Amino acid sequence: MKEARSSPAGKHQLLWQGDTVWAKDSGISTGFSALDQALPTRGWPSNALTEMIVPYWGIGELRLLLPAMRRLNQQHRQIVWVAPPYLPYAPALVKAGLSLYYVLVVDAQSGSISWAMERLLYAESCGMVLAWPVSLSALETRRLQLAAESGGSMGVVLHTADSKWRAACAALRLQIQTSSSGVAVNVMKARGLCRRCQIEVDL
Amino acid sequence: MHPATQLSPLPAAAPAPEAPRQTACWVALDFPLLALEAVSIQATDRAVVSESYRRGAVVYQVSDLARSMGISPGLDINAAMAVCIGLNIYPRDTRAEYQRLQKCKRWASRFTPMVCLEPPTTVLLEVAASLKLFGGLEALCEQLHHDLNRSGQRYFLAVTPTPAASAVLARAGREVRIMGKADLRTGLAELPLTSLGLTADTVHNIKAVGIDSLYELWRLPRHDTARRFGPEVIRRIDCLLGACPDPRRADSSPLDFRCRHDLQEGTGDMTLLLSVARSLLARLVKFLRRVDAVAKEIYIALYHDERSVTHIKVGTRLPTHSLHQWGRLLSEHMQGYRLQAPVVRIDLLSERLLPNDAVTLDLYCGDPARDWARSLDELEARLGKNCVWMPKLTADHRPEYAWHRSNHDHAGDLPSRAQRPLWLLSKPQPLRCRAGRIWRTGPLHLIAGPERIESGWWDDRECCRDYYTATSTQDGRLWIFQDLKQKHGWYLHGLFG
Repeated sequence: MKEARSSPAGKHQLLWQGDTVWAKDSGISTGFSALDQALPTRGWPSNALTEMIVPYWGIGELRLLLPAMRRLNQQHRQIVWVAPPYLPYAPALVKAGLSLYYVLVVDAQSGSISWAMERLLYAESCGMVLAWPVSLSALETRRLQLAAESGGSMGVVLHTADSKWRAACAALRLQIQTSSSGVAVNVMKARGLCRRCQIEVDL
Repeated sequence: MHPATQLSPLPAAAPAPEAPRQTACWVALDFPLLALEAVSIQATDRAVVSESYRRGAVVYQVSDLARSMGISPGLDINAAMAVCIGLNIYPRDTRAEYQRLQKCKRWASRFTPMVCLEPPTTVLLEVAASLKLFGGLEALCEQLHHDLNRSGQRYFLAVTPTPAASAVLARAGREVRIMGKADLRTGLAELPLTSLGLTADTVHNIKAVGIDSLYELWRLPRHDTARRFGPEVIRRIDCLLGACPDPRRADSSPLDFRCRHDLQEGTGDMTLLLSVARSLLARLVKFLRRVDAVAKEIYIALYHDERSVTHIKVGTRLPTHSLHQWGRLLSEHMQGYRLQAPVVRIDLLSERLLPNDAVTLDLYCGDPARDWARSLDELEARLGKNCVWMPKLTADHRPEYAWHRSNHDHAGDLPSRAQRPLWLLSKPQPLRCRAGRIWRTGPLHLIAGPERIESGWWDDRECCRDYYTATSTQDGRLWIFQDLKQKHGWYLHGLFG
């Protein structure tokens, strides 16, 4: 103990550092190297809830998630879309390299979205659950986060910037904006990340 | 010395001892008054069942009382009416007879899975594998007698090692038990020739040479019998004696289950109804376990006062006989129901039960595919059948028909090459034109296109459009089209997401 205290390297080991909470390389690669580098998990957190805030639908949120979807698809894990605002268009999904065998859409009323998402996150063969809830309480977010952790699935909730969301227990919180090259991803909160950062992603 | 023995240095191998095979044990149950019982006639009634032919009706089966008055099967109906005044004549109901056999089969499935129907009147059970469980043949037969006596049907029961012999003996009314194949000849010898089930012509030919019983028939040289009366005669005899294979297949006609519960007074309380439905489910599950089947769908009918009925259909991707699983699905379903009126009676029906293809379940880790199917079942139960779907491709050029919803996960994928948006609007949204430019939130710039799609003249949903990819700072990338049949028809159809 004494030796450890005397050497600077040992002192470094004894110090608790925030970035060690989240295991490195436990994520699913986003497919964009700049984004991978910026996120503490070196990719999307694979068993946690991610929150995405967009100014309007269609800014590029799906293209941002597509490489991860493809990867999960190759592992024969399901991609579930809960209450999407528009129709996920099958020809485009096939063109993007997804197998429709692993794509499922669930039409849920606003009251059941959170329940359906939680149920799906617990399922073992489910890889990613995307949901577009109108609102989500702090309790519901917490439940979803727990479901994602125990089910080992990736949960993504998407909402527009104008919706009234206050509580956010999600492990990763991103805001997406338009930029000259593609989109700018604003990492507002991530477990193991000390400060906010903004990454330009060329879609 | 024989040359072959000289060539072989090794002594000839002794024939391998034949593995002891369990001899089959076929129980035949014959119901001699099945036609009468099917139309609910007692043996003490003065009644017959008639069968119609082209030339007229003849007596098919007679009650004991009618028999004592001199009526026998095969008699013309007119003659029968002349012999016995006040005779009740019922037409034969073959359907009801078959249903009774089916019912008997369902009851018999509790003793063995190998139950074969031998219409018109016989049911065969192969019980060799069940003897140990039921404590031997004696105990098993006692159980059969007990149940059959309670049902009130008249029956004959015969046990032999071959199905044909059991059936023939039971039909002839001989309640015998023959355990070894060697004793079959003795047991069958006294039977009349007609019990072989040969055609009338053949029977006539054989009788013409003065032969009346099986004993006399198999005393004839085998070769000559075949030549004179046809090979079928020899085959039938061999089947009876177990000398030639006589494979039988277990009856696999689908089973149904139906039960009901009448409530003392009408109630609209869902919790109470659910508990009643659960007790019906328990009966279903008990039945399923007994016949070793699984259910894929159940229907619950809630009867209201004024003859109106609420139907609830619960289906599953994993056919099961688990009470827990059905209970969960049912409660998810019933929770969402709003009842119009109080319920006075609940029916439960499950049709086309499937055989249980015994899936071994792992105690410690579940099967992900089964787990997934169970999750989908629960989602469907709560949200509705059509709310869980998979997008699939359809071979059509029109964008709105190039996909469809599917509830099955086995449809194959078609290739898709064209550049398409990830989001499609369910209905194209009209776009404004302002100062000569197409406008959504802001002005749109066309960056790709046109792609002309002209198709569908055959089904009244013709489309004639030029598709473009457009972009703007406020809207991202959009997929828009110009309807060529209208003058300024610009529409938004998709978002590139």
